Amino acid sequence: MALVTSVRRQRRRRIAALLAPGLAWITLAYVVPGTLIVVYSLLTPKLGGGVIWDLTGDAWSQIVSKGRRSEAGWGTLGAAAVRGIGVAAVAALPLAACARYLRRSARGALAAAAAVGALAGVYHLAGAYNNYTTLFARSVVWSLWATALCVGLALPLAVFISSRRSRITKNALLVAVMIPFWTSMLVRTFAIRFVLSNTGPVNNAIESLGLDRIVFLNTRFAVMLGLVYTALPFMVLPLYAAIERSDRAQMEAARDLGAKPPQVFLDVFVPLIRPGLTVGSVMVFVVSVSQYLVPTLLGGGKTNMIANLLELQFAEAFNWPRGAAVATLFSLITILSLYFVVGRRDGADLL
Amino acid sequence: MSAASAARRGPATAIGAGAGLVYVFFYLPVFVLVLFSFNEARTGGRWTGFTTEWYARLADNDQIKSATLNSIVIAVVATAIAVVLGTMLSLALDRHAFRGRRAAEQAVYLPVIAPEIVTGVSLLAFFSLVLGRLNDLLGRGPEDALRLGRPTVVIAHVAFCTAFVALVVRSSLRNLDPAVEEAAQDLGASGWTTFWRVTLPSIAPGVLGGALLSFTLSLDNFVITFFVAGPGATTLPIEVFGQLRRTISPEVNAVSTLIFAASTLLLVGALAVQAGAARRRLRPFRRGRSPSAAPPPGPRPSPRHSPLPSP
Repeated sequence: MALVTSVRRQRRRRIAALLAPGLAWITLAYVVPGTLIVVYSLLTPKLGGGVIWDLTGDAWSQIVSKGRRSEAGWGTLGAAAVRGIGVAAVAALPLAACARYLRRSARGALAAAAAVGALAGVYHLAGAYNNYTTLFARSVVWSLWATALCVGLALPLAVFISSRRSRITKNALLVAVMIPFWTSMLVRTFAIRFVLSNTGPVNNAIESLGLDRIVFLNTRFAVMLGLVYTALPFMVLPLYAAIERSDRAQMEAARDLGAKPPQVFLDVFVPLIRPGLTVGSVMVFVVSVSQYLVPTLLGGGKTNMIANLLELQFAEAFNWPRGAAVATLFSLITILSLYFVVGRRDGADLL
Repeated sequence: MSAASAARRGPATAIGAGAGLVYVFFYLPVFVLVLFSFNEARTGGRWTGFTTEWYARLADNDQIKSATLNSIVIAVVATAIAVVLGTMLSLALDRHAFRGRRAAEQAVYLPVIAPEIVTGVSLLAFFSLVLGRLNDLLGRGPEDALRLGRPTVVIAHVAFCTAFVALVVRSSLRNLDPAVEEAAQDLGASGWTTFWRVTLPSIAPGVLGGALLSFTLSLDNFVITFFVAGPGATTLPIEVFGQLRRTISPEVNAVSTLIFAASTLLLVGALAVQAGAARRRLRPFRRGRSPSAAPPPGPRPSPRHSPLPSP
């Protein structure tokens, strides 16, 4: 009996010794500073950076109060409602047509259209309210767009790689996706900036065709392109893993039983690869929503996102409490979206 | 028959074309960047002739050289620490069941999913608080005060590198049957001997792969380093960022090309090490020398999500 407890105690000591240094380091660099930033958001700013330890809610009230030049009012609310309903109506038509074609109830399609419309309405309101809500809404909505575009681009690629017969071809194609996954975000963003610049190769080609140069940089197009370009590998790899694990016989069976190709795709294929889709979407969203290099180098300060706001408050305006409040809110949004979007079932796959 | 196969080939061709376009999208900008690093013209995107002048100039650029040295020193130190910590973590998480294991796992995943920008600013706040208190305690004035620098960068890099090393090593631990380690202990080997003579040699490729990846991550990191480096510890990505915001110069293309080449080489090295290990692992069972009592452990299902899908 005594022997058993001593063995158990020894085992416990070994586990603790293995875990302690690594966990302590990660705690020191992530958990402690993360908690500190919440505290900082409630303190008084010090000139030139840092804080004075006087409690105040100024930073938070600045974030939630109406902007100085804000035009928000009943008119904006009405405009937002009109815009939301319009977007929902435009989205509802094709979605309902698809649902009908697949002989499914239109309720799901209409709910999706309503969600898109609500998002458009909130985006409009946030854009009129104050600078902080504008940047938050822009970061979130653009990252959602980037996620959708990444799904559309990554799915054919992942299916293509996984349908190769030879092991060597598969590995070569996969490594070709992993190289951009692991190489410097800075170099890849700079590559896009160089290619699109006003005197860059693309514009030279356009000019040699006898056309006018086009300003690509510092536009929404460049930022969206950059978001998709940098985040795409994060979608391809989980999707590929999910497709490899999925049971192809189920799709064959559905086809043999007379399902139309879109039905096979939506009712069999998508549920089979759902874990990969979820992991990929979460990774693309988190990477995009916190992008600093893309809006800085490709948006040129005109299309800022949350990360630019944080950089501004910490490194230029030196209002650390305000920056800390933005960081707290941002982390909260990220954590909540991870929790709700991923949910418990797929969460087990992610974590 | 032919109509049916054509109907099946139609979507396949479309998927192939889409996949090809995505690869073009991945590589064309980088290819153009590399190409123009050999262009004679100082400005603009017009090809005027081949030169290696910009690379030669890099060799004389003291700022780039000192930033590169900084980056390498930081990456070596951070990787050395992270490999030890990450391997220990993965051993605890894979070989032992204990209360709070899920919480420990989630803590290890924290650096992987936390937005880098938030990590950067919170580390800045944390370090400036700690350094301020330390300076007060030690009575250091403005001249000899402790500031942000290489040590703070190393502390930050070790944290996320540890997490990635733990993930990679864990996936190679899953391929090592615990029965082998138990056998060693039954034959009288101590815990340490088992680790050094049995466990470590088997997972060495995973550890090496994790080390190479951690080295790449540390070399390439921009956002977190940007906040914790301070003026004294400018790393290569920060120096390049500063230069490409200030000027348009083919030198930036040249240094970007070198960074791209270096991280590609490191990644391919890491993958080759792991692929070689996978091949070696299968060999004894092919010869039929596996113990007859238990069926040979087949390759266990790969981890659901690892940054490196084992090829």
